Amino acid sequence: MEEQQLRTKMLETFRDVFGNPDLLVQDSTTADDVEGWDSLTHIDLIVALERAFRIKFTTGEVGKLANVGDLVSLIKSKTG
Amino acid sequence: MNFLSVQFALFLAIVVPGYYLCASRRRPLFLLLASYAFYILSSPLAAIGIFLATAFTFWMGAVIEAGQNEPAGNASRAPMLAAVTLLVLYLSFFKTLAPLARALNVDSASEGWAGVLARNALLPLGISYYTFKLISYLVDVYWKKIPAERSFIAFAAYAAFFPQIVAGPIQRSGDFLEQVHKLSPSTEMFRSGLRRMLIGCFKKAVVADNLGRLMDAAYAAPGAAHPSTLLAFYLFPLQLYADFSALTDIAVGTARLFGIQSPENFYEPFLATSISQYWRRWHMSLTTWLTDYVFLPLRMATRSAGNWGLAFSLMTNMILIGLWHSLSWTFFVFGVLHGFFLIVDALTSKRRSKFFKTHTGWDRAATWVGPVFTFHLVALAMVFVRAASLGQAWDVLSRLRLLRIEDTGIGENETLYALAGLTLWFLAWVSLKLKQRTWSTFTVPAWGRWAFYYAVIAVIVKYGHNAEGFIYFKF
Repeated sequence: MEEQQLRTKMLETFRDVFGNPDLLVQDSTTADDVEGWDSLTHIDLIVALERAFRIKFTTGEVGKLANVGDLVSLIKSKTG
Repeated sequence: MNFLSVQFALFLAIVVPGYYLCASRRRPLFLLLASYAFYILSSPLAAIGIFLATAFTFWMGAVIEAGQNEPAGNASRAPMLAAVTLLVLYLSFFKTLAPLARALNVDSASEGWAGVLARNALLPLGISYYTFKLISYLVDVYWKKIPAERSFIAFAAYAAFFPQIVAGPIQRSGDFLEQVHKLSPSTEMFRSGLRRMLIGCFKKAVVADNLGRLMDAAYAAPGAAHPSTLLAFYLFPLQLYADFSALTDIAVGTARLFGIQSPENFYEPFLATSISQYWRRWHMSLTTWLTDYVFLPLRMATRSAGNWGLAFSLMTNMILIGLWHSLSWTFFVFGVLHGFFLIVDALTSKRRSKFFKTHTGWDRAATWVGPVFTFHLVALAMVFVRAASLGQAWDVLSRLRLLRIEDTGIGENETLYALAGLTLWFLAWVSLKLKQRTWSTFTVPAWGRWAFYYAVIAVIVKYGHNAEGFIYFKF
């Protein structure tokens, strides 16, 4: 999948999960920067991304995510 | 060793100058020796336990890392699970001894095995905190968040670091080890440490311990006429907050004297507008630990089960928080209550935020009503923290009727000191907020600061009540 395509799809998922159609994220964005992104909605986001990209994350992969950039790299590595 | 004692002051008077006389590269070793000296002075036998647990974890960290490099892959999972299970069993064993002795009704005068059990049913100093530090280290190495530590001295100093050993904060290994390898505290860090310790002493001696005497009277003899219960209901959360945040202040402040920045435990918890927000502001080093190492794995495992998976993960997490404090029915109920509150909070959060977005008037009202409502939920659950048994908790809850301080049977002085202390603490908080917002360039001259510090010390000496210890020491 093209990187731009991946990022667009990811942003759509973010907007859907956090109920904010104007949400913008960058690689440096963390959970603290997005309203409503807490440990509960984090899993909602993970599940939504798994569905959107037809991939599976492990607990360890999710446990060490620090920001959106990490999430992009992780999805990239799984979608080839 | 109590933080508010002459022994601790003397201990610091020896250790702090010794640390600064030490060459930089020897400071981790110095911190390790000082921490073990503190531990042995408090609890000599238990020092063997912490040393063995530390050595075992250090070795297993290396085994887990070596397993990750094997071509077969995933060879590190079994050692990680085995090591974490052993540490959990080690903690659970000691946590079970005291409830077992109580359940079997044995005392130290009993003969045979019963006496041995009763005499040894003490929780080793800091075991709840250092075991959690060790577990998170192993999982972080397994998750490749951090590399396995190469220096045993630095690692053992992390596990036993004396300012954090008695009651946290539970610092993550990556955060501590990064700092311990380059220890060179600035003068400002040292000063801010001393200031933080002074605030802690004030909160503990003047606010918490005077409130503590009110609580003791209110909970001492619940009978037919026990009108002070309402006061106890509202003031116990404040006492616990003053007591525990004072302990954190002293721990964070002491750590700064040695150039270590500790994580925080509190962020204005009683201003939280919801119960989920409260748990992100109360005992943060424990709740973030549980979020990462209990809630996240549970939630990932149950993510296909929808809301049932969410409810199960939340309830399990909160019951574990309760039982981590003590294996007792009162703490179990405390966990269940918070689990229930959090489930309701989580399941209604989307609907609530949608409602508030379209009803701005209600939204404004919620910012005021939210903290009051949340405080009542917290205070309700805290009755089970303070009560010695479910019976006493029920007794207290069923008598929430009248408010008459004079019937508590204690002098009015303690009430006055506690309330004056609370007011001062509140004023200090307001001024700090104002300073952050508007007077960020304003600084008090040195003579003013020192006059204030001496005044605080005088208030502590004159009006402080020296209780037997911090509430959180016993966990």
